[in-house]
Amino acid sequence: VVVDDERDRALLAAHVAGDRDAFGTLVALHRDRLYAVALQTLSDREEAADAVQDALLSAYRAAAGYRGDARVSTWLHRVVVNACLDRARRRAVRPTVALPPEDLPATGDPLGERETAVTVQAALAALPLEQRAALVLVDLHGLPVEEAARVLGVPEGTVKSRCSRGRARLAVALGHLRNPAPAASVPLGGPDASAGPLPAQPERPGAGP
Amino acid sequence: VSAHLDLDDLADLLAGEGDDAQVEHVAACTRCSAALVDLEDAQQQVRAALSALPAPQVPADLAARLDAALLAARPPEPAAPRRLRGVPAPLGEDGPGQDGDVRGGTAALPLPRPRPRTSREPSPWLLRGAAAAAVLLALGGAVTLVVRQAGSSADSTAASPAMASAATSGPPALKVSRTGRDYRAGRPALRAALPALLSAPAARPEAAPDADPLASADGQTLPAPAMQAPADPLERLHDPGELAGCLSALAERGTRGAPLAVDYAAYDGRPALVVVLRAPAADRVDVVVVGAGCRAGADATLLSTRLPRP
Repeated sequence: VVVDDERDRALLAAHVAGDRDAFGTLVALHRDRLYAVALQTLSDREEAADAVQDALLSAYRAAAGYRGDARVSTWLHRVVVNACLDRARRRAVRPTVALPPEDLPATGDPLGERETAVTVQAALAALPLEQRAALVLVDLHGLPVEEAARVLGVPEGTVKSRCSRGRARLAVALGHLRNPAPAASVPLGGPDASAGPLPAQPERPGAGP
Repeated sequence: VSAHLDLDDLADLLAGEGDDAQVEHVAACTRCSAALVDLEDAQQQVRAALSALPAPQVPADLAARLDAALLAARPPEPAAPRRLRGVPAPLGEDGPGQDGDVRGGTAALPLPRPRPRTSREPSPWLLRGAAAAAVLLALGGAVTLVVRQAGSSADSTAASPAMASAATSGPPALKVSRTGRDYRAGRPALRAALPALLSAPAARPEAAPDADPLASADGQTLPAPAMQAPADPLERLHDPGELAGCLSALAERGTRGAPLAVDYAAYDGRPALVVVLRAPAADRVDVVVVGAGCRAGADATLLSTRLPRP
């Protein structure tokens, strides 16, 4: 990871210094992961492509402002996630829909696994936006909570709470709870958080905004 | 806490973010403590299901689009523009280039490079002149301006066939709107506006001057005088020549086709020009939102997307 970040920092510095190709090299190294985050956050192939493109163009132009206090990959993720959140909030009138099956990569078991993936993806798409974004980073892409907090620009406690609440909703939606009675007070599924009030309960005051 | 905890409360407790009252309640409440254990088990299954989701990879068409967008964002290669005899170079133009001289020891290049131009191909200046000519023709026949645009290059003679070709191939009439609306919603807003933009009236030519005030006595063109800063940041792009320069910068990028419509509008609170261009597929259009700084060689793209053609 350290070696990767040193490589990324060198590429970014070369870009700022005027190397016309350095940023393209940097993007090629992270493009797949950034696109995956965008697609799983937005559940729309074209929106995700637009978000990644806008974000990387912004990063290209703003690279001189990179302060170096986070890893370059974290910075890139932050730019992309912010672009996704902006887009999701702007399209507030449209509820998020699950990824169409053709946008899901093939798996070894084309029937069972693919069906399960579609179900999980649909449940994920129905989560409130902030919970979905946190889960995509932490549970789908394995970012440590600390790094996810940097990407999302919120305290670590907020990331933990969003992830846990998101998992709880998914547990209900996927039928993993033996006794879902406590869930009765929590609206499940429904429109994207961007389309209405944010989670049923305010997040922990101590956990930040 | 006397009431039973709901799902969010229990989730916060599992995340270590519950408060003291909730902790005490769970310790004393059989129902809530059982629900907490149940939720913890269920969350483990959820984590496993999420981590098992296959990671999507960038499809090839999107990768190409991304590469093209980044390529378009590059500053133009320093070039030695041909200059008319007797016209002095702008200050500093003969100095060392600011760009392109710096080379870091980086890895192989993932972005497509423009292939070298062969002697049989027209020069970029000629292409730019031809693109500008096509746009100006689309604007409705501001012939004087076309001549001035072509005459600004030392290739003016060679430009004529290209211009003729552009004229005979019939560039589409450019539809011009001046909605002033803010397309901050991005793609959905652009998609909703497309039918109106594509059915707007074709551009009316600006009043063509009887005599080109920028033409010198021998018919060649002199550098334009510096313009005063306009109050409307988009004012400059109302000038057909400036608009042509901006559109030619867009048309040079990637696989974009001829411009179909423009809208003097805004994006994210900033003045912006929305440009609709032909896409390679007949049932699609490329829509590019550019800032007020769009000009020949610098497209100032703020957002670009490909949408179904209405």
